[in-house]
Amino acid sequence: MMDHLTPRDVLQQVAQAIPEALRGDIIIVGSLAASFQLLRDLEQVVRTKDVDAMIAPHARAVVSATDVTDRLLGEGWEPQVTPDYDLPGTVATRDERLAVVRLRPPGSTVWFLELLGAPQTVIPQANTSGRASARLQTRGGHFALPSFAYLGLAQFEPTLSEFGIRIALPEMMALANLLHHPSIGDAIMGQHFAGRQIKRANKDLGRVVALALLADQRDEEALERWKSRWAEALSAMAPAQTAQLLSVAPNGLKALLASPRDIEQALHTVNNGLLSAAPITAEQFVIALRRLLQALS
Amino acid sequence: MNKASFQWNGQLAGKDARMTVHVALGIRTARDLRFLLLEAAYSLSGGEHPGCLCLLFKCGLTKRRLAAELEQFQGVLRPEVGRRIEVHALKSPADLAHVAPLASDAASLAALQAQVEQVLLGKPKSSSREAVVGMLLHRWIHKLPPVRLPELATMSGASLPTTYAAVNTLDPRWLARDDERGISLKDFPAQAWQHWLSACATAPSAKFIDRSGSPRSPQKLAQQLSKLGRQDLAIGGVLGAKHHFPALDMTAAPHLDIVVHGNLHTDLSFVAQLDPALVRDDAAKGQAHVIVHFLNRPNSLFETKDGFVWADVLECLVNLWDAGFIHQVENLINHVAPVGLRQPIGD
Repeated sequence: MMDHLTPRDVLQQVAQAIPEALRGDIIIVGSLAASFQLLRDLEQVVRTKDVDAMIAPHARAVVSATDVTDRLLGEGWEPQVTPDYDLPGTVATRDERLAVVRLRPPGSTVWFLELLGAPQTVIPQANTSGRASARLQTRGGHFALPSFAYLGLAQFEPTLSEFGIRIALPEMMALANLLHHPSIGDAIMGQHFAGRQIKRANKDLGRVVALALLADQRDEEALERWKSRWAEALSAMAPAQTAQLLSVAPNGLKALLASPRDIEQALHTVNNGLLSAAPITAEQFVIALRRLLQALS
Repeated sequence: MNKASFQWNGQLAGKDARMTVHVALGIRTARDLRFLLLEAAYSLSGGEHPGCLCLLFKCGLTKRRLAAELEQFQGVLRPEVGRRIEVHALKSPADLAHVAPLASDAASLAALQAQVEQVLLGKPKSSSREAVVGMLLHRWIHKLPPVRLPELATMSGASLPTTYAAVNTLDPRWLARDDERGISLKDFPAQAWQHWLSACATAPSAKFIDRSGSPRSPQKLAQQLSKLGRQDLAIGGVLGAKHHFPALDMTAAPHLDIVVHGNLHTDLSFVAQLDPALVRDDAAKGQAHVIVHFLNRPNSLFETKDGFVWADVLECLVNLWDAGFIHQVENLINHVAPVGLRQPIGD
């Protein structure tokens, strides 16, 4: 189920529940971060059910995530039950059965806060997806704290919100998605998206196009800066691979542009997600995609 | 009919020897097509010609639209006339080899291909009376010395007779003549400006509209234009006018005017490089976001500064006039013309 949230509501609710000292370790990523950064009106509703929070830096991610979980549980937040995982997890629970921390605020059943960890490095180990997981031992039981290598780029100069929680930059979330999908893979999302089966790559690459569209609408020079900002972030976090990663970053977009069927899926996801307040046509989607590719060339 | 259309004077071989061949370049409207077809029908009326071949290059009508027009046209003709008119929409001169009466006639094919290529790829070489007057205005504004008519003809790309004719349209009281038979302007009243601007503004242009819903600003499009690094594409219109006269009484440009040093058949695919959202629509009912004008004279008079190529101030004036910015035209003339305007131009 999805519901209408405003970025302000969510940030305020999370901030109120967490001690000030811990708030600085949270970086909001995903659709709520995109909405916060790019929608002109922070009171505008966004359609999401999960609010993704990365706990950073990596060195204290496990400790901070444990503290955040304990604190929220203490404030009456409730774990989201998932049938495939053991809840509460115990010392005996195998790693693959550990549930991710997904906590619903008191009195709400429509959205949950999901914790992620900052990765050790933004470059995946060879022949891996870049996903890793750490075990959290909280007062509410054992949980998993997953991390994703490329998503670590969201740690680059996040915006500090008035609530003391940091928000990832749109261009860094876009870069993470692009590096994760240099082509349109066949992997299907675990759950239907607005009633349809969707390829994971189409959802993530569609998100990139939507981010670009919104950024462009706010400031027509914004996309021109993305590439240099990516270079800064990669130079800081993966200096040896900067040039190579910059050169491959647009590949997924080029693959999307060449496939009308994938474009149609990606359009479905953005019009039922980030752009739900002002859906776009397939022609507008392709124009936004081409404009981004032009800015990156 | 379209200015780039011509009747081929060559001759086909054998039984097709007396067939007439009409070539039309850049037909974009049903009206132009109908005119061409009527000409073709008239050419058959005397019974002298067995048939008429209409060859369309760079036709802006869709296949479906073209087919519908032809069907409609055939419907109003007597069948014995209708079946004698053949119409082919072709992409390049090479496609002529697939047109039946030409395919078996190598000599005619080569001759016609050469003529079509010349028109399609033609560089600026002709000019009009307006160009001659425009060159005199340019020299007046920039305080350049008098010029003899043969030189003026060369500068404006006009023939000598056209140059004489153009000068003769000017009131002698506006002209200064020196001992060496050089002429220059010493006056150009409001009425003359109005006449000249109106004549220049009738030249065809290409319009592009935004399909994204969030159009790029003219300034951004101008930046993209400068990135192309082309010296034959200049910024005109309001942005160009503000370059020449920063105090111009206008705060924002409604669209980008681009002046192309070339003719109507210049490749305009560069517009997509400015912004993928731009689509050509010469019949745009709403506001165009980019308007391309064609400058068909030997010397563009473009000015390059800080990576931007600017159309000369007179081209900008014409663009402003074309857009209906009369007050700004007066504003700019008063800034650049040696004697300014003594009365409003729109009166």
